[in-house]
Amino acid sequence: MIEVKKLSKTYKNKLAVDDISFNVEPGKVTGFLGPNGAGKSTTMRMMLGLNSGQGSVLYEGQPLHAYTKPSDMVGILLEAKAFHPTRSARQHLKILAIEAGTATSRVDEVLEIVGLSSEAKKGPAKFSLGMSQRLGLAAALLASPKYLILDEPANGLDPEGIVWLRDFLKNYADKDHGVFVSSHLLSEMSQLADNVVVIGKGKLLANTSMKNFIAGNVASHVYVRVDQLDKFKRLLNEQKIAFEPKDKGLEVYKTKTDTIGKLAYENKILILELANQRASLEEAFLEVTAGSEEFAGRRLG
Amino acid sequence: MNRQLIAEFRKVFTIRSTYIIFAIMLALLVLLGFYVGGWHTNKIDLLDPTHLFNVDLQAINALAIFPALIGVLLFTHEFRYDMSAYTISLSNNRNKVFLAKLLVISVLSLAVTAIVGLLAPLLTKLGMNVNHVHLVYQHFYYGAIIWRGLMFGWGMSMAGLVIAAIIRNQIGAIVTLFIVPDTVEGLLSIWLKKNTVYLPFSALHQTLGAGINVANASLSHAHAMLVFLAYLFVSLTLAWLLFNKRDIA
Repeated sequence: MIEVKKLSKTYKNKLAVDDISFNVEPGKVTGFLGPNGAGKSTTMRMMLGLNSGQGSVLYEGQPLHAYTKPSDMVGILLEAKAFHPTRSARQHLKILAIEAGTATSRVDEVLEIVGLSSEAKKGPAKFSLGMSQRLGLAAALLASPKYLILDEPANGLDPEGIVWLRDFLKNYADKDHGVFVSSHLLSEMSQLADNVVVIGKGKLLANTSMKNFIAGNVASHVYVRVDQLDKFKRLLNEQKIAFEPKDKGLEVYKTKTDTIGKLAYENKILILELANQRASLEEAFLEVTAGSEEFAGRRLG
Repeated sequence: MNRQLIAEFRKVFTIRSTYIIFAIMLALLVLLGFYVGGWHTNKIDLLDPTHLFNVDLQAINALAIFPALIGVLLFTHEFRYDMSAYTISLSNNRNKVFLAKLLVISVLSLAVTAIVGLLAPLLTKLGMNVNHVHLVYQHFYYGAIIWRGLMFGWGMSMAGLVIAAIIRNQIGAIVTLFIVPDTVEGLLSIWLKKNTVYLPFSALHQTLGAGINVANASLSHAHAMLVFLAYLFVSLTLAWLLFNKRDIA
């Protein structure tokens, strides 16, 4: 397990990371969410000892630098284009393999895993963002580490690449590895992550399972369309059930389809449409991070 | 430590800029040694019994900047291309990374200086032979060229390393390496006058014996080397501390 304990970091009197604690468990994908400028990248860099600060990070009970070969413990992807543009992809990985103390024969294996074998001899100067991400992932996988720490690995990937990445990371976690991944692609994250850590303005806003995070922060609701709308509105008011008009029906909050169906049946109202509206990670994320955006745009018009 | 050393050597020899820098350096070596020192030499120089020795000093003086540049690139590429996160996190100790870079730059600069020191007089002789002119009997001070030449070449590269480690920005480090020795120390000489010899690059040039001429105030080569080494010790300590403490952003 990676145990992150009370991480704090101050930049020029501004608290960038404020007393954050969470765990990254093996066998699970932990999503790391937060608005731009929330402190995600700083936290990740602190977890790797690249940035200084207060607090501690233990990998299987020890600091990362206590391991002779830290690459056996953690593989990283922090920047997509972290390579020299004129050094071939294979040479780039060979150098990292040597630094990691891993057999250089592993280089061709990871290139094949990420689908870059045909580009191995090319300098990555003209690699697309998606190809660069794949090369970065190959670097992270070199030593088959126990944990992966990935900062926005899906950026620049095409839809096929995103599906591949999701399946790959899930499979990697299934082999008792831990994956800690940040992303702004919330729909993707909701399909990928088992647990979620959310920060805003450097503070920990949530640290729970994905299911609990969504359920706990967005009320599920029901969409219903009936033949006697006014009568049904009166009934809902009598029952003190909150609702709002939507399209030709009603969005009914904090209730279940069973309750709505029973109410309509008992009052001889014909239901034309009845659907459970599932709360999304995006809604939950916006709910939790409301007011903690570092940079907020305004609507046009 | 071996891992870091091998990786740093590979970093030097797997990028295009290293070969471009070496190619320019070799072209200048041929120009200085074969053409200027040999083929096109003055008739007066033909009578100089230390002509080959002086050509060698001048070649080392002119070309030591090239391995220093490679050293600067080795360090600053880490930050320019965001590779430092890998380099640091793959090692369990930043000191190992710093030491590996220092050793690689040292070996490279000493090897390049030795090659320049060997080739420059040979090219001069070749240029003279092709032009059918001959030198008087030459006194070549092997011991002096070895220690002063190698010290100068290594010193320039260490200065590059220190500048790169402190500044981290590639363009900034290269510009600093080019302007501090001549422009900045030249301007300071207006104020410091005879004491200019105690400035780091002036001292380094005096170690080689092809540096700034300051009337009546020259240090001996050994004394100048000690002055430079004192600066180097302090600045290397600062660079090492910064490398250990600063965030890898």
